[in-house]
Order: sequence, then C-alpha cells, then structure tokens
Amino acid sequence: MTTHPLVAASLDRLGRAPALTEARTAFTRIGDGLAAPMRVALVGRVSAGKSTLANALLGGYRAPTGVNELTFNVNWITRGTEPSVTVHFTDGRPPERRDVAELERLTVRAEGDDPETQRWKQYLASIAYLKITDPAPYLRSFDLVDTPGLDSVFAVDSANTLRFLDGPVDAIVLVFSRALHTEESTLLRRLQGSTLAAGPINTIAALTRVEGYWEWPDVPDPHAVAHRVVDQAAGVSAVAEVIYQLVPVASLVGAAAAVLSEEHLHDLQALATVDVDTLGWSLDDADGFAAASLPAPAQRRRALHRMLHGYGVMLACDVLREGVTDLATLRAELDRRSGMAMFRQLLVDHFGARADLLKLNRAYSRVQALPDENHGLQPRDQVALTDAMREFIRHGQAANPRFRELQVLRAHYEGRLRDLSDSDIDDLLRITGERGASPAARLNLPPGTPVEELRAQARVGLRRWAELDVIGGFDGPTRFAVAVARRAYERLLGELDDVRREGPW
Amino acid sequence: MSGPFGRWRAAWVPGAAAEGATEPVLVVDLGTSTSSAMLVADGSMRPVAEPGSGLWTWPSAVCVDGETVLVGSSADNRRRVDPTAYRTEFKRDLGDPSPIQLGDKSFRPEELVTELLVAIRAQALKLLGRPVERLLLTVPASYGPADPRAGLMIAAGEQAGFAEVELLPEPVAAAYATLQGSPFRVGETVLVYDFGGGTFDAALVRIAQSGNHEVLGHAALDDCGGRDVDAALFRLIRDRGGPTLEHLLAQPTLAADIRREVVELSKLVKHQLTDSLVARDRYAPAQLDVTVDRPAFGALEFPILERTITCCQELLARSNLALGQLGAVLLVGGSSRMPIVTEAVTARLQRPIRYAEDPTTAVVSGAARWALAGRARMLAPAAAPANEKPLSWVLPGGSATVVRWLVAPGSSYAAETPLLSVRLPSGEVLRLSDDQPGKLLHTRVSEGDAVISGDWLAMVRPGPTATPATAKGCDPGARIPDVPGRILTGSLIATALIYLVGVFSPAETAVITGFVCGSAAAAGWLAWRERARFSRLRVWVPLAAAAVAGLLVGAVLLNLADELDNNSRALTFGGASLIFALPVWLPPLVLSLVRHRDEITAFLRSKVQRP
Repeated sequence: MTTHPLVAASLDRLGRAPALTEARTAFTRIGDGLAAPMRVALVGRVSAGKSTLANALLGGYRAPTGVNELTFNVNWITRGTEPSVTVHFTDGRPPERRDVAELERLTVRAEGDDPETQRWKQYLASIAYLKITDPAPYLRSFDLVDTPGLDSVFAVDSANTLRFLDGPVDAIVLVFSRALHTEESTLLRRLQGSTLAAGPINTIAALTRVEGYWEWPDVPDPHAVAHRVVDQAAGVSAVAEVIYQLVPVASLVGAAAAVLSEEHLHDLQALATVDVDTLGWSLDDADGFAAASLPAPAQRRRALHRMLHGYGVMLACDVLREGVTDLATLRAELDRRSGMAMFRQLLVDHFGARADLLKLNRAYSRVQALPDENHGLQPRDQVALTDAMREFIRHGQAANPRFRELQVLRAHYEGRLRDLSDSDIDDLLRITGERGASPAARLNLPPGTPVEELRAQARVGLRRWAELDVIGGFDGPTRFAVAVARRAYERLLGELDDVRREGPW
Repeated sequence: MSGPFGRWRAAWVPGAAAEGATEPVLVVDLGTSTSSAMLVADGSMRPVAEPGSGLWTWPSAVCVDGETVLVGSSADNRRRVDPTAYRTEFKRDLGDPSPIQLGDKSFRPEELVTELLVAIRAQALKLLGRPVERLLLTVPASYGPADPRAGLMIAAGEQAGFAEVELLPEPVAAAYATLQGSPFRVGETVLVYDFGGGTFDAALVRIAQSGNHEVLGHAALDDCGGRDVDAALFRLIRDRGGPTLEHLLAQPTLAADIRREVVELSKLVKHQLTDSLVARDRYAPAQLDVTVDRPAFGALEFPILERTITCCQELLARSNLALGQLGAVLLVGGSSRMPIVTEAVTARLQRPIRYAEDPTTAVVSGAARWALAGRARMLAPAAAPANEKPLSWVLPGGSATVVRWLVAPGSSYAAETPLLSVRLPSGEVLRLSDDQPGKLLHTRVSEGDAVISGDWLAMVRPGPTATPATAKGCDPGARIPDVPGRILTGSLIATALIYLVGVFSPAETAVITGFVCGSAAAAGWLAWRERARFSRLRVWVPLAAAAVAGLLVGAVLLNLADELDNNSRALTFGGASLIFALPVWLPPLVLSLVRHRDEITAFLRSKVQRP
C-alpha cells in the first residue's frame, strides 16, 4: 500500500530513529485508514435490532436474525462484485475463505456438547471478525459493520466489539429499541472518550422496531409514539452531546419490504379487501391472525405476520387499497413508510457525503493520542514526534471550516437558527453542500454554468452574508452560522480562482 | 576566524546582550473580537491606546480601502460602507488555507494578524520614540506545541517587523495579572473563566513560582460570548419598541441600519447595567425611551451561561479534578463583569470568585507583568556533566549522512568498537568508533540525518579502563587476579583446618585465629571496597566464604558431639573469635551472594559442564 499523502510529511519528520518505530506504524495505519472506504458500525444492546436494521439497509436477508438475536461475531460487510465470506482470526492466522452458505453457522452461537460441536465452538471462538462482500449498491457509500450486542462491557463478545470500535471504525449508528438504557449512555460516554471520538459528526441513533408500538385500534400510527420516545431520549445529556440525529424506523417492515414476493402480494391483495376494523382486530398476533377467518391460506397468513408484523400487514393493505397494484411499488412504499428510505438517505447524506471528513476526524483524534502512547521518549525523538504531529494537524486544520459547517447544520436541524429568514437558511444549506457538492449546485445555478458567472454569483452571496455579519444583534448560533456561511462563499471563490488560474478541470 | 566563535561574532551586536533583559517589549492580547496592548519599557508598563478611539481596546478588525488596509476602530467605522471589505474574528480562521476575500483582494488569515500587529507596533513607536523589537503575544491554550497556529502567530509577528516573538497562553497570562485582593497561592488550581465578546474559553491553571503556571486542561465554546447578551437585550428593546420601531424595522431599505442602531443601543444599555441598577437611554428615530432595570435584565434567559458552566464542569471531569480541588474561579474578559455572570458562576460552581484588577484587560496586563519579570527567566548554561564526554569526528570531505547506529544507547563498548556508520557524499560508508571503551549514553542524530565535521553525535561515559590501568596500556578486557579474594579464601580455609586438626594448644590457636581472622577481615574489607574492579571477586568471594562457612558449621557440629577436651575448648574459643569477626565478613558475603546470584549460577554451571 502506498503512503497516503496526508501522512507522508509526518513520516518524513519521524525519520528512522528506532524509538519512533511505533509512531511510524501509527502514522502509516492512520494513512491506510484514510485511504480505505469509510466504516459505519451498528452498535447496541442484544435484541436492539442491529441485524434486522443491517438487512433492511442492504435490502435483503443477509445477516442472520432471530428472535433471540444470536449474532455474536463482528460482521464487516463491504461492497464486492461477488458475495463472499472471509474469516479473520484473533491469533494472527492467515484469513480463511468460507462458503457463503456457511454464514449463518459462522455467526450464530453453537449449541451442544458432542466433540464435533466442541471443535466448532473452538473455531468460532478464534474468530476476530467476518469480512463479507456483497454487491448491494448501497455499500458504495461506506462499509457496514454489524456488531454483537453490548449487554455487558466486560463480556467476551462485547470486549471484541469494543476493540473493533477502537480500531478501524469511523462512524457509528447506535441502535436501540423501546427506550434508551443507562448502558447506552455509558457506551456513548465511553466511545466519546475513545479514539473513535464519538460525537455529532460521526454518530447517529436509530430507534428500531417501531412496529412494536402498533396496537389496534388504540395506536394506529406507531410513528407518533416513536417520535415521543425519540424526543424523550434526545433530552438525555449523553445523547444530546454525542448524537447528530435520532431517527425512528420500523425496521422489520423495512427489512421485509425488500423480500416480498408475488405470492405475498397476492395474499395481501386478498386481505386488503377485508374491512379495516376486522383486519385490525385479527392482527394482534401471528396465531390469532392464522386462526381468523380471512382470505389467503392460514399458514401463509402466519408467515406473513411473522415477516411484516401486524403493523406491516396493515400498512401493506393500506397501500394496496390506495390503488397500488404492482410489487415494486408496494415494496418502495413500505420502504418509505417504514422510515427506512429516509434513514438510508440520512446515512448516505450524513456519513457517505462526508466520508473524507469523518475519516479525517478519526485520524485527527488518533494523532492527538500519540503523545500518550509514546511515553518516555528522548527529547530529540519527542521533538520529531511533535513535528510530525504538527505536519498532520496542519492538514487537519484545513478541514476546520467543513467541521464548522457541520456544527451549523446541526444547529439548523435542531431549530436553533431562529434569527435567520427562510431564504437565508436555504442559502446556507446550499452553500454548505447539503443540496449537492458542485460549485454550481452550491450557488443554485444549472450545471455547466461558466466560471465567470459562478464567480459573480458567489460574490453576491458573499455580500449577502457580509451584510448580515455587520448588522449584529444575533444570538450565538446564528452569529456563528453567518460567519460560517460567509467563509463558505469565500472558500468557493478561492476554489473558483484556482479553476480560473489552472483552466477547466 | 573559523569555528563556532567566528559565527557568533558575526551575528553579535554590541550592547544587545547587555540590553536583552531590559529591552522594551510590546505585549499584545490579540483577541477574536478585540485586542489590547501594553508597552513594557524601563521597568514599567503602560497601555498602548487605540489611536482612533483613544480607548484601551482595539477592535480586531480590518477594512480594505483601495490599496490601504484600515485597522481597529477606523476599520470598524467603515463597516457599514462596504461590509465585504470589512472583517473581524479572522483569528478563528488561522490555519485555514483558503484566503479571506476583502473587497477585490484576498488575504491569508495570518496576514490580517500581521496588519493588526503592524498598527499596534506603530502606535508603540510613537509612545517610545524608537521601534520595539520584542513582541510577547498571548495565544489560546489550545495552541499547543504540535499546533501549527502557534507557528503562524510567530510568523505573523516576525512579518510585522519584530525581531523576537514570544508566546504565552492566555489563561497563564490572566492568572498572572494583579488581582483584587490577595494573590493566588503557589500550588493552587484556578479555573480561568474567560468570557469574551464572541467566544468563551475555560482553562485549568496550576499556580507556580514566578509565573510559570501550568495549564492542566482547556476547553472553548466557539459561538458563545457577550454578544449573546446584546442579542437578548436587543430582542427586549425591540419587543418593547412599540409600533414606530416595528414600522421602522419593517422598512426594506432601512431595516438593516435601524437594526444595527438598536443593537448599538443594546450594548450601551448593557454597559450601563454593569455598574448601575437602572439603564436609561433614548432611541430618537422611534421616539423610544428605553429603561431596563436589573430585575428585568435578570429575567432574560441566558442559555449561554448554562453552556459555559457545563463546559467548565466537563473540563474538570476530563482533567479528573473535583470541584473541591479548585482554589478559585478567576473571571476574565469584558463580558464577565456583568453581575449575572458572577451570580451564575457563584451559584453553580460554588467556589470563591476572583477578579483581576481590570477583568477586561487581565490577559494583557498579566502578560505585561510576566514580561516585566523577564529577568528571572534568564537561563545560565549548565555545567558539563561529570564523567560524560561528547563524541565528534572530523569527516573526510566535511559531511556525511548517518546510515545506522551499531551500538544501542545504554550499552557499553570496548575501545575501537564501531559505534555508527555514516555515508560520505561519495557513497562510501565509514564506521566511526571511540578510541577508549565506554558506555553510549544517548545519541544526538538519527538514521538518515546529515552531519558535519565537529557535530556532537553522541554523549558517552568513558568506561572502567579510564583508570590508571588503561593508562599503562593494559588490555581492559582482561581481568585482574583477585588477590584479596584469594587471601580471604585461604585464611578462611586455614582457620577451618586448624579447628578440624586440633593440634595446637588453646593459646596458639587463639593467636593463629586472631591473625587469620584479622587478615580475612582486611581482605574482605579490601574486596568489598574494590569490588567493582575485581570482577571475578563477585564469584570467588561469596563462593569460598560460603564453602568455609559450611565447613565451620560441620566442624562445630562434629565437636559438639565429642567429649569436651582441650581441642574442643580451643575450638570453642576460636569459633567464638570467628563469630566475633562475623560483622566484618558476613554482610559483604550475603550482599554479594544476593546481588550476583545469576552470575554465580552461570559460573557454577560452566564449571560443571566443562569436564
């Protein structure tokens, strides 16, 4: 692997002194991390619905899920042309390719005492993580890491996960169902202090299994309840400080939507003809639903309920009653109404679009930790390390405006930019790249607009924010947003100047 | 003249060295929104006032006007004319490579810092009558050694014409300011709560002798400052303004100007409320009489204050400090003069509150005091450590590149052992060695470094043979026969034999025993004193002594079993005298046994394996 340009100067500063071998390795690793695709980990307690969420995100059944949520290995899912599974071991053995069909066996705890099972248990215990390749287009934006439940910080699986989070993970999705527990707050605090430096830049939370709130006829819209839970959770200080956004998703419905078949469609169409109230009352549980006198065979109804949950069946029937007739539209509609589509988009927008920034953020906090990891250096080596760190931080600080833009965006999404008009906000979102990263998109001009015109438009924007800057009387977040927006226009003008000097791309 | 002294002379300016300590220093606190400066000269300090306003504080603002760059209040006054040519808070952008656009010009953030420093330096020149060459610049605590912004600040100072630029962390400077009341105690930990116009900084400072305070930790809030209070007051005045003001603020062409004027009015009201209970003012265009009293002001909500407190609490938690370990909270910055700030900090942190004589200028006046005490920070050269010598070589061609070190720091080497290899410009590799044995203490160059003739490449401690023995040309590797060891061993064996054979009368035995014990003791003492020189002693002395001690114990047991005759009496007597000599030979025996147990084991093993 070639040296990443961001660490080249630092490595140069470290020279070849033997005492700095560790620091050199650390910088090389940091460089490798910057070159690799971003990794987003799903973390949470046992039964929080991480694997279901992973499946729903990828659009199909991949990670095994069960009632008891048995996943106990870290599954690192990356984009590849062919599905494959490679086992990586804790003891440094070379990785081993396994058959994709074995995936479930590899991720589920083995039960039994016979010698064969014992051997298998030993094999499973030696696994550090599974690297799974998958052609899902969604993985273009980042790698997804599914982790075992974190019920006790001291349990073996949890230790494995935490080690992994301290290693190659750049961002996390905290997955929880029902409510936030103290464990989650503790975990967030821990991750905040780790080299992952969990914070609003790299942390999103998902409230899963929203369908669980559904109850006929009292709670026809479980999302309303979910939003109340989310608002309550957002009041927890650990959450407010660390998490960028908290999103409720009906993950079971979302995961099921991806695998609905024509047969399912056929059964659901039959069920949609039934009176809403009758259907609602019968959907209490799978057995009751199978026993009720309704169209479609009982077994298939039971399977449908297990897959979609009562809320999912209701939702699907609603969609069909609205006139949808084909499977693709039904799937897309369920994906949208379950909240999955929005959540997926949030991940792509928030994490995917800022992959470089997140990786840099991560690298930055690793570099800051270097003096602690390199105690007792001779003064001369200490100087070399400080020089190397300075080289890196110089590059890192170049990204400061983009971190500040993120801070402003968060303030906006939390409704703290009260003093700005709607058109100001619109302009702010556009110039900070929320509506597309190209200069034309940031200036609200059609693609292909000549550079001179872009410059003129950028000057107009710059004046707008410069004027707001001198008016004053704004509260902190707004003042900060005004300064950041002005700077964003300046940066854009700088980029356009470069283009003008060097000619078109 | 060649050599280092020649180079020194070339750069040496007559009088500079003598004047170094008393040379005038310009002290600048370059803040995000306002700056202040003091001139330290002739043992006293005085403020450098802003020329446009005559005030102590300089707005950290610039405005481009054609080819000139206006600075401070003259820049501030132009901001309404062309907002795009005006800029403040550029300190935030330090380290950001993309340029700041002002009018049709672009600047790097540090260039704007330079502009401000040039203006302050020019004002200091007027006060002093000659240019100031030294600059002491306060910087946020976050500008640590690995932070490139510290280097940018130094470069900006040098660009402004200063020959020497020194940096001091802002909280350290603040904690060194003259306080209202008694000064801080040495060893006390102080929370510096710096509430500025647009930013908030918190730092934990441990008070040390002569101002060398240590920053234990720091935190900052980017979007929180006194202007939030202006904003709250502005909203209050606007809401009370009635229809006329509302009408004015709704005029598309006027709204911005009206708003700006009312914001200015809010600031005046805020200043009034700092030391009086009721603030009164009038906004003529809206025929508005403004009256705000402290209770009304206190009723306004200031979530920012809560954020500053949380920021402090988190800083304490991160630094593993309990609130109780905090000696005091030092309130610094113009905005911290507001009574609501004191009230909030007192209520929430419950620690003694302290103020600098003038909180607004605490940082700059603390730094000026620090500069004034500069003489104390002179460093005398350290005496060369005894028993250490630097190694340098005359390289053919004058220079080379270090290829690698062949001896690790901390290890001993014999004379003529290659210590490192260097590559000459021609590509030839040379091995460099010491002509004496020694121990490599530390290396001063690393692999890949360029070195020139005469550079000190390592510090060594001359080895054991740097004694007369080496001077006589002995082979330092060979070991000296351990004469004292042999004397000791022989005498102990003789004593044992005398007792075992038992042919002497008690009187004779006593004399012989006395002689043997005396010589054994002398040998033991000599061996102990010279133990480092006689390496084999480490093995022989304890082994022999242990063997003899064993024999003696055996003899005593044998004789105890026998009837008590003359020999037995002699034995008892001799034994007693040997036991009497115990304090002389036993401690070194036990000590050397313990110390050299590994060597002894290895020695025995080698003896056993040899046949």
